[in-house]
Amino acid sequence: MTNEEKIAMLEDVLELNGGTLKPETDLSTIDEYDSMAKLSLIVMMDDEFGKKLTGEQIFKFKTVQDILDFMG
Amino acid sequence: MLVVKSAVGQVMDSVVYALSDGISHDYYLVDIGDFDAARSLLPEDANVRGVFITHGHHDHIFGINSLKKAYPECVVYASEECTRMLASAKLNLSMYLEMPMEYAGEVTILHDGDVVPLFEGINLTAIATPGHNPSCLCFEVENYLFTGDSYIPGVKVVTNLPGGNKKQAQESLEKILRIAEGRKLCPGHNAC
Repeated sequence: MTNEEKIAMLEDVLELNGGTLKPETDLSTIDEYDSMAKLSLIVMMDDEFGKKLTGEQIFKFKTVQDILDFMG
Repeated sequence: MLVVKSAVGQVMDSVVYALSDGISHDYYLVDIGDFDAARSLLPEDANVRGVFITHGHHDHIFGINSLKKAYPECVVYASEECTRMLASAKLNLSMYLEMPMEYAGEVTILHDGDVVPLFEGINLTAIATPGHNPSCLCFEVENYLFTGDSYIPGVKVVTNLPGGNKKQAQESLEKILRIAEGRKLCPGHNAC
């Protein structure tokens, strides 16, 4: 999966328009990155990538790139 | 006359509502995210006759096993989709939060328009409001409308969890707003 495809999935989870996110986007600047979105992210990681994402790990995510790196 | 009390629970600040007629010891609950929150609303001699589940997300059902242990005769009312979520830690999302819970006991299934008598002259009507989740129901009782997460005033309806559907959520929202006119709204978060 390309980075563009991963970003598109992330935009879908966050209910953002396509092209909103860049790898360097600071997550703290995204209003939609709230507790429900984080829960949705946990579900997506498990269902789509087979990866367990913990609350502690989410707390460490600062940019979109951090999430992309976790996706692998 | 219907008396409604509410308490905010520890599980994602979801709200538990307790309904009574102010005369008998009979009570009904709307959602049971946190049994301790529910218990704070009930007198010691309360007879909890039923709990109405607005939808199957963990924060609205987490206390159900404690409730059934304390009040075995309590009837669980929910949508058909919700019964599947109650019985699956994956579907109700509790698994993802490392607090897995499941309930596989009896459920009385409610469909859109079903009416349940609560107290003398006081009925509850179920209203299907899919969108936030397919399991979503709202409940109309006298001039109260319990909306779960299908409508939280001032908050955009969340549709990015599994089963969420933005188009259905919008249609349900329009339906809720029509019914809500002149009624007191009691959402699943931010109590009325």
